[in-house]
Amino acid sequence: MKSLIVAVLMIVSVQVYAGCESTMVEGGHTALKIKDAKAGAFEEAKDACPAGDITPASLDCTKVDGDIGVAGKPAIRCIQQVYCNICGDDLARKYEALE
Amino acid sequence: MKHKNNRIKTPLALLLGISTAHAGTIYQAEDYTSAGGSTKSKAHAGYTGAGFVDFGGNGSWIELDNLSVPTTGDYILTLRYANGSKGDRQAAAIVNGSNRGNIGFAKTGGWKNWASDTIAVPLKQGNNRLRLQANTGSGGPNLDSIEVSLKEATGNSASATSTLATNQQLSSGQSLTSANGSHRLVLQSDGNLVIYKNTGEAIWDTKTNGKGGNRFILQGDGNLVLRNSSGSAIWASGTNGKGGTKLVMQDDGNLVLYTSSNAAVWSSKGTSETGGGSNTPDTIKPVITLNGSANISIPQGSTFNDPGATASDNQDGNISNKITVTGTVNTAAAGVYQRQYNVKDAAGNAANTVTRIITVVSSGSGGSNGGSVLQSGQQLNVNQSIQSANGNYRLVLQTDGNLVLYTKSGQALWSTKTNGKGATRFVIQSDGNLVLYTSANQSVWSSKTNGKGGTKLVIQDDGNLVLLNGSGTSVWSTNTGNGSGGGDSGSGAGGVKIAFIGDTGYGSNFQKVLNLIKSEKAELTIVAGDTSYSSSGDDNWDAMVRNTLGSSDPALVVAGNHDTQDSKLSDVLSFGKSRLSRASNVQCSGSYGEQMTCRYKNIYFVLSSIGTTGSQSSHENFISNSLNESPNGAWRVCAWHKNQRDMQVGGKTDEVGWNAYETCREKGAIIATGHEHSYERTHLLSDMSSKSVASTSSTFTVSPGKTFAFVSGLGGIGIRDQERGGSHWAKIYTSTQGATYGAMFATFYDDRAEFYFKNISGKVIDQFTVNKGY
Repeated sequence: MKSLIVAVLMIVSVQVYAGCESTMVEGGHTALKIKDAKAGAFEEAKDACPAGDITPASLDCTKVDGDIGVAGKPAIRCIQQVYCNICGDDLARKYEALE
Repeated sequence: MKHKNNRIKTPLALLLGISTAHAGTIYQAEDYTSAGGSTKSKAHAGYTGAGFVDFGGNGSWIELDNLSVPTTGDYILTLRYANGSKGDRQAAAIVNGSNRGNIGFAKTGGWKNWASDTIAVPLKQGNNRLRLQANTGSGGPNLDSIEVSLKEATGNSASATSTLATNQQLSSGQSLTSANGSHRLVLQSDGNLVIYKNTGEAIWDTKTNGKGGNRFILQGDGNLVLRNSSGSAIWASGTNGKGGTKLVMQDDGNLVLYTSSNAAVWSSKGTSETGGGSNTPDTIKPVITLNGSANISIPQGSTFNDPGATASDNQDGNISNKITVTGTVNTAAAGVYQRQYNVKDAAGNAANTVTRIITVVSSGSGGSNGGSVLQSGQQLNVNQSIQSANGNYRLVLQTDGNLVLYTKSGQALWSTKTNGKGATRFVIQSDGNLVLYTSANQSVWSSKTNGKGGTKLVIQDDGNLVLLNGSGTSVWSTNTGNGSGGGDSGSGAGGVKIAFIGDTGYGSNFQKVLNLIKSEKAELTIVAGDTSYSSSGDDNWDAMVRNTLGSSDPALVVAGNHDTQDSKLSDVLSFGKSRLSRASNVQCSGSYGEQMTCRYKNIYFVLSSIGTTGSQSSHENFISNSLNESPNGAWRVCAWHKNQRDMQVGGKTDEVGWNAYETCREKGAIIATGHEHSYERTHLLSDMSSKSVASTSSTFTVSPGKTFAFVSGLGGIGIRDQERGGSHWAKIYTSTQGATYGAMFATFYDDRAEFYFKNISGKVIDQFTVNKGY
């Protein structure tokens, strides 16, 4: 148990020292094909991460009646969640934008 | 099978002819909200969605409590089912607690064979609860889906009419016949939609035979869609959002979709007669681009060699050889002459006439003192001029009454915009006022400098026209130093072409876009963010721009999210600053790429990295303050990378805030963005957040309170599909529409700007005219 606590503290301290943080962001996309919906959601999730590395988390796809505005139903909407790992200047920019 | 009064079997529906689908909403049976004795299954192929419902024996049921309709009325439920048993099966349709009759599920010859049956039921506005309950000993069928569509109580046979109205549909076997009977549109049982002459000759079709099409609908969004029995679209006109409300089979054999104001938005003859998925009428005008300057000055007695022009069309490609030119230039007589260029495409669309002004300058002309200075009391008469000591700039009073400052190459830098007002002499009065008078001694323009001590008007070697007082201090100027457009009255008749791109990468696609910008002769490129997408590619991106557009092309960049995510932002900005430092004809201030205003001739740009770097509020203040300081008469353009969700058609979220959009609208500033990898343009809007459309015309006026926004994100990195739509969009060009890369171009004149989006294949995708209302 002690080892586990020490390990956790080490990880936390490294993150603090490095000026990094990991947050979960998500992107969504609606398309006629699930393949396109998945790819689009991933792109949007990546775009939603201000900078840095991303790690895919959950992916959820459902049928929708469509706000798609183009021919063809049913449409698929996918929501991709990713962990967004931001450090240094990128992190500073993120907080500047949130002011 | 039993037939209840309110039940419509498919043959009866055919007889009724036109029924409608308000949206043709499909509910998958397996998505039921509750069930009894029925199970979800995937055991038999051919279902849509995630499976189907396997009804049990007598009394088994499913219930959906979310059948939503926009208005109270009679609707048709179309149930897709399979019945592989040897006999028919049946279920009751219970709507909001009331039994609305039975649906018979005739045997389909196998559990993989799917068929449809319908029943008409009343539904109330909002959510409705539907229960389907097997009520015979043989139980219910395998049920795949339930489509809810509005029933129209017309009772008209489609065969008896030439017109299909909004929400009406043709079912398999039905037809529209032109008023004189000469042509007929038929939805054939093989799924092909065909126009026949009364001789039996087919002249157009959708080429969808064998694809299962059995309903052809004019949807409420204006799109013509051919669907199969599972509701999937197999052909569409792509006219959603264009306001089509009436499809007419005309006597001339053309099938035309009209708006309520009878404007054609699509026709079968829009492209070839062999059908296809996105036929649209060719209503797009060709575009003419002048070779050389729009204003040329030549000495009297010299030879005028017309540099010519090029013309391109979205359908016909290069049609330069069809350009017609009118107007002559008599080089023997000093004066101002005009040459008009025009062209028509094969569909008869005429381009906007482009005019070149040729000034033949008297060989013996000159100011009253014949040099670069006009002293108090002196004047210029028609066709007289003064020129800078280095000979690079000339101020001439033209025969049309306009006083124009030209460069040596004939480009107008500044003018009094008094052409046609009858001015015949330009005077520097003893009170220090510069005045243009008619022959009747009426003033048509003045510098309003009386009493300021001006005694000497000098045309400087840097192109600035300056009124100096007795001590040599400037009291008025055209602010055209270094050949830039004037701050007093803007530039003259010559247009200024700007390219707008975004989301480029630094691959071959971007190179093609750069080649396009070069061939279109854009003078300046605005890059709305996301350049190389690589921390090791920023120098390559810069080199591509310099090598293609020239080392002095500033290619102004406003930072996007990938300039911080993937590029090295400091490199993106430092390369940009270096390009800007080499460009002598654009003046910028502020923080490069983040909060920067730039003046290029008659255009004032406010560039902001809102949503990417810095706080939103600081950018909102910057945009507002910058627009408050807009030079008089200059075009106003706001540019940033990201979007609000409703200002793009992809999956982007609200990342800018509405304040920035509304502030620019309030100032009549055009809004240029990127981020989404597609091209889309709004109509003229009087409110951005509510998407209030002020005009749907392709010629409109931006003014304080009204503007439009566009996304030009096809710079090379990728092309995305359309996710969203809406009636506020004037043009949408995504992978759904088969988009390829391209750029937005705009030629800004004093009073109007000609916009067009052109792709790297040379096709003009969108074209419109913007008048300046300020």
